[in-house]
Amino acid sequence: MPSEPAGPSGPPDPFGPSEPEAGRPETGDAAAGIPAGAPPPGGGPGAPPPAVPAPAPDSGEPPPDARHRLHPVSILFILGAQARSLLVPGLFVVFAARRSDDPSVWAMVLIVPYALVAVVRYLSFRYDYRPDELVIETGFVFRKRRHIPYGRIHNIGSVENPLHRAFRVAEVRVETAGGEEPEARIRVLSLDALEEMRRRVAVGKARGAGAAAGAGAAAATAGEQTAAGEAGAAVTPSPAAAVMAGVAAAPAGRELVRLGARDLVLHGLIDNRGMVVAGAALGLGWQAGLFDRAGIDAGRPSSPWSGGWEAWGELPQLAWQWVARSLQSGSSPLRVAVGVLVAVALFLLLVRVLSIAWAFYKLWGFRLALAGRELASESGLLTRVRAAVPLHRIQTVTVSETPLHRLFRRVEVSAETAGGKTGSREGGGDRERQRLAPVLRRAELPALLAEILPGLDLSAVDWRPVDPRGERRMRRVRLVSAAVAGIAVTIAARPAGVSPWWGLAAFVPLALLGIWIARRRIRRLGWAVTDDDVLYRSGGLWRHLTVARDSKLQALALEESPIDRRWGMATLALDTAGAGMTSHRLHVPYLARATARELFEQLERRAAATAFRW
Amino acid sequence: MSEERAGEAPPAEAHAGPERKLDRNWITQQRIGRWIRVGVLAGVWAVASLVVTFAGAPAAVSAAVVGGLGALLVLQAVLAHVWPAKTWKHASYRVTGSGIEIRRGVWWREVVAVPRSRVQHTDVSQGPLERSLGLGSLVLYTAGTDHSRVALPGLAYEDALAIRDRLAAVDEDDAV
Repeated sequence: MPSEPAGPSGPPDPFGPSEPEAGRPETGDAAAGIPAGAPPPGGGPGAPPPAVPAPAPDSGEPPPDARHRLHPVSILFILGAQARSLLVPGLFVVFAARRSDDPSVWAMVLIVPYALVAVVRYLSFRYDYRPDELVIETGFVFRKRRHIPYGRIHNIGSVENPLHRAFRVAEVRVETAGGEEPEARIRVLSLDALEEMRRRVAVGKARGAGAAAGAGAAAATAGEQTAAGEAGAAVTPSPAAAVMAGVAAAPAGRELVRLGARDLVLHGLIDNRGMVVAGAALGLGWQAGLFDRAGIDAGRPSSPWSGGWEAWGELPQLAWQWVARSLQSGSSPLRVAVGVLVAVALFLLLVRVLSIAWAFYKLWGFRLALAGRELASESGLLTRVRAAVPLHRIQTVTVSETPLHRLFRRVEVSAETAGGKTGSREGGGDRERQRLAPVLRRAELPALLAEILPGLDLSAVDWRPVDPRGERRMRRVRLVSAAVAGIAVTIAARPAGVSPWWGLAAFVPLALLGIWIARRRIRRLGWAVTDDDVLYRSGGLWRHLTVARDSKLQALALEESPIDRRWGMATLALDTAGAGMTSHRLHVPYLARATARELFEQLERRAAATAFRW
Repeated sequence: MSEERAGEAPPAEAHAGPERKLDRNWITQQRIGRWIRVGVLAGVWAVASLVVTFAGAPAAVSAAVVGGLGALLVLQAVLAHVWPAKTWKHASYRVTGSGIEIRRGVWWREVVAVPRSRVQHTDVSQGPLERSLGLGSLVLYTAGTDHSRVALPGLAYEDALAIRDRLAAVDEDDAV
């Protein structure tokens, strides 16, 4: 801290003083910004150059004071981010203080290093807008410089929790294609600086896109492209304008989806995140010893973090203990049964209520807007999360319907994007999935899809079935597995002296269920090809429908298992970028071989005739 | 911005490329590789057999090790000879005007097509064994998920280079 003269005594708002420089690169940045290798051209002679400790020897960087800094309250937020690691030592301090005489000494020992780290991190963080890339420098002893070309930036996401809002700052995430983590996490910027970053990245991007378009036109070999090119130009008159409009902060532009309180209630009911919330609550209650007070004897969880899960596991046992005790103490079995039923009903109700609360917390004020060629979303009750996705980054769009969705005539629409991490994403395996509409009236679906995938009219799609013999195949598999289950029950029942008829009792319902499911699934399975898109739908009860543009197909595969070959069938698997573990992939099974081959060749031609850009 | 389409009609040569087999030397390469593995396993088997025989293990155990594992070893040796030829028989590729189509798999058969415009970058590599046999492996990288890496081993080295040049000749305008 003392080695940085520009630090504490420096400007309270680091963005003010940088404005003079900020104006320059825009007007004539080729001249001002890029003289790489040249020594600092005296950009800011006013302020004495801060004594940056020997920057990397390969430095061809602009004058140090042309670079931007974090907002000073960053120190606070960096400390906050460290709070979790502070928690355990903090508890130690509390306990130590109880015994020893002076707790403040311990507190100093604990807090001071962390505070120092936070201050150093704040002081050493710089970012700079170069003509064609964003440069972020971090580290004090080991300086690290990251170059992010504007063209590769997918999204400048932001998170604002109530504390952020109090200081009018935001945590910023610069995201690029690929990679699990955001390319850069900037904690924290003032809202004005965030605005400036969005603007300048948009300008940089548009300039890059213009240059690339020029190069592309020059390199284009196909003469037929001109017509398409003109059409494309007409749709997006100026990439600069479009991107500019898009990266703008709050979801401006045309609103596509907005969730009201009623939608959130419905979403909570359908989505059923309540189990997760209930698990966490249960874990907390366990920690607080609520169950001890309730007189229930149970083991303690081994660690505070696993408490929730262990609590889940223990629950049936607790219930059983309660039942056993009630029966012993002479309650009538009927009353106990009623009690158990009521408890289960209450529990299910509670879970749903929690799920609704969760929906309100996460999705309050959910908005999705289309500005130019970019989707912008915003949601969150306390912590506002904003994200922007350019339409061309969307790889696939999936429409999901659970049985509950169908009951309420709603659907869920999500998109897979390549790269990018902010936004209302699902947890778990498929982290690239972004919800475009957590809950949407089915009647509004075609309109939304037409906005996201222009030219697609879902209501006019001509669905084609798979090979009808697929039902026999699937039924056969179901019957065999039902038979295996029945035989297993018979074998298991024999030593226990139970009648082997129980095996049959297991087989019959499973077989009937299997036949029913096979029929529903095969009837629902279908594919369709429209002017620019491929569609695939599946699922008997839990239904999914996925659309991909031809230009997003990366590779095509025609797969035949030995059983496929016996039936003369094949699976057509279309590969797209950004698909997760649990995504609804475009893998169309049970196609007659000739149909599959024809479709494969048709789509290969169509994919090859389009260009793919991230 | 990304959805432009170059003409509806596909180029005439799009599917006219000849179906080509892999280089026959690839069978030799696979056999040598598998024989080396069988040799290592045989060594392990021999040591294990000696140990169980002389360490006075129960008869059942030594029979299982000497006989059972020995039988597995023989099976491996047979496969080492037969399997490469079988996979070779079912593998082929076709370079078309629009990209490449690779066919492979004995039991589970697969045809993978990668359009030229989706090839992000390519690798041609040569191991020591491949070098002595004049072979090379071509690997195509796409932005996809399952097929983010599509390998085509067993090409004559010059063919691998030629195919790479053919596929990489696509314009640079789809750089990220």
